[in-house]
Amino acid sequence: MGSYRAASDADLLARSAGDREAFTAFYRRYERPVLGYLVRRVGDPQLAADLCAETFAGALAGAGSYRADRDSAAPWLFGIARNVMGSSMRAGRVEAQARLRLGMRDPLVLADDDLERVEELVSADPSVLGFLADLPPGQREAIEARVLEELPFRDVAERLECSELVARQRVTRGLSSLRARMEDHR
Amino acid sequence: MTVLPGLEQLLGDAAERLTPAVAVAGAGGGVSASDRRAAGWSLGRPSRRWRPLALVVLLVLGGATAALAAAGVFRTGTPVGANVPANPRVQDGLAIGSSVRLLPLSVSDPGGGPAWGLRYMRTTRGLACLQYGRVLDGKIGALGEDGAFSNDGRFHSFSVNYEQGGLGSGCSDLDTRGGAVFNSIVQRIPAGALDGSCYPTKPSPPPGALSPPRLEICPAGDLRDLYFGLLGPDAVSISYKTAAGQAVTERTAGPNGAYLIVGSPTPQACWSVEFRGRVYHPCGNGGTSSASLQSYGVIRSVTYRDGRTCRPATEPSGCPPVGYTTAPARQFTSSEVRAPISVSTSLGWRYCTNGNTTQPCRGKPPAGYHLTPAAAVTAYGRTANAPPGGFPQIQVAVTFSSRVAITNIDSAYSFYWQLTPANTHACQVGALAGRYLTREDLRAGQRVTEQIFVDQACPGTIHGSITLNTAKGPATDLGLIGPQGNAIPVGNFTLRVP
Repeated sequence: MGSYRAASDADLLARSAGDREAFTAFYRRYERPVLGYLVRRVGDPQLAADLCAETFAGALAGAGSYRADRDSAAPWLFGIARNVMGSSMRAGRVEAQARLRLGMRDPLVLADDDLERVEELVSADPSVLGFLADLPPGQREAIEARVLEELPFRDVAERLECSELVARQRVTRGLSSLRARMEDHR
Repeated sequence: MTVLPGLEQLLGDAAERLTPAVAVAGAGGGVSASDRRAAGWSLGRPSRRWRPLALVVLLVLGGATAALAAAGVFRTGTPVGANVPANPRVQDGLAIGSSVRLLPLSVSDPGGGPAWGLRYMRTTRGLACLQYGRVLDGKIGALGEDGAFSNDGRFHSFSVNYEQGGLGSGCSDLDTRGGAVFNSIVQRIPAGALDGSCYPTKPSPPPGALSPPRLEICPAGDLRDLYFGLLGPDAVSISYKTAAGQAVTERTAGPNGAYLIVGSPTPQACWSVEFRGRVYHPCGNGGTSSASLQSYGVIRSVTYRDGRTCRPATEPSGCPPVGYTTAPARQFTSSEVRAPISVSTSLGWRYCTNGNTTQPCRGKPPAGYHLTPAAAVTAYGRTANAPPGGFPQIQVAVTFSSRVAITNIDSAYSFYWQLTPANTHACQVGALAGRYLTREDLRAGQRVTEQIFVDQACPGTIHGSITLNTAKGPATDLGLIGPQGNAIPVGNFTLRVP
């Protein structure tokens, strides 16, 4: 596993078919941001865990088609997560096609500890989300991309269509505003 | 430590099973079979199973279904008409009449009644497909039970152009010799064979947030798992394990090695989640189709004409297709397909559709259009909170001219788009990303338009791309959006949603 710690996302995905350590390293790299993203969107740890499973199964199944046109696979992976979430919500149940196609038939056993860890991902004071919604759109978008999705600043800048420097400034200013508002609230 | 170590283990196992040369098509989104089934959830009358009297008559007459039908035991009801567009140039195309034939397969159902069977056909867009259902008097169809056909207890034959399941149902590209190979599994469908007539299990998402209205749950005993497909011209038999653990071997049928296995649902064949002592089956009544044959804990082996045997459970990616010679895919260059893309937007509360096009409309729908319910244009299942007439949404139309002709199912334009919201918490309806395939024949120079609906209260930026995807191979056209596909860029588009 140690040898993969410094590997790029593209390298990990390229090696994933047949190499459990490569995909496990990829999973460990993105598990928390993807789970955090999903549980914030659906508000249910069990459902988020199920969506997360299908998201990573989709990533594994599609790893061969991943094109390394950027350093991070995060936008690609979050795109899969959004697709899985959207299609599951349209269908009224969590899609399992990627898992079925991969032959993943063993049950995912979720213990209370697992769900507590998922819940911890959103354990921040809920009012933070309220304050976040009050921020100017540029700062809010930057914080969501950087803090919630844990994207590198380069990807944040690309998403916001601004320079990396500006993206950093927006995150810094946004976090300062959040901190100030929360202190005022107390 | 990871948050979900169990999931890490399962994914690691799955990665290990994959071989570097094999990847799985259709991952990460796309249209699922369940999307097409969603409209069928509106049932309220109790299920009517085959009664003991009918079974007694079956035994007396030796199961001769034709005789029973003649005697009036199985009455026939209204036939099930076509549910695919009456256009040979779109989607999977239409069945070619001369190719349609009922395969010599007869599989009894655990609950009795007419046997299960398969009907083979080729389509106008170059696919070989199988229809599954109950067979009576040389026809294939479904029974009026479990909410289907108002529980009338009759047999309803299917049109040759009635397609159950959508993607994931059984179709494959034809090979150079007109043959086809694919393997499908359809899970937890009602025993009456009408897919979607009732829902097989409670979905795991929170009730009220995601569940369809008026959910009806099938009794577990009324559900079946189907395994069927075409193993290729060289396959002579298939062996499988029944729910009781008995090993059974059946000869394949027809020139393409057709097989059909019907059984009670098995937990092995379905993804499940165990939580606090309860097991959930979020896979519901899903279906999937692939070129390779998987075991699913049921299928043991396939034997070929030369005596070779393949055991899918011991193969890293299942049994590969045998006897299929892939026809060469069409090759295009980027300079041949690149085209300017235009994007326009409009705002609407009500939408009208004519089957191919949906547009905002006010008052009476224009000629040829009908009003689309709000639920059809909202994606997050929150129609309960929708104001009268639906949510206001912005319709984005993305248009370009196809520079090449599309003449078969092996080529399609793929639209991929992703909305980056400025404020995710404001987004109520509409998807945040989507991928669409044109799935129709196109003339060179023909204008192609794809429509995207986004929530008016969800401003942000849409980034999109269009590619021409070509693929050729066994097991449906799913390869068009997967690694088997060859994607040539047409262009990109960006739109800021105000």
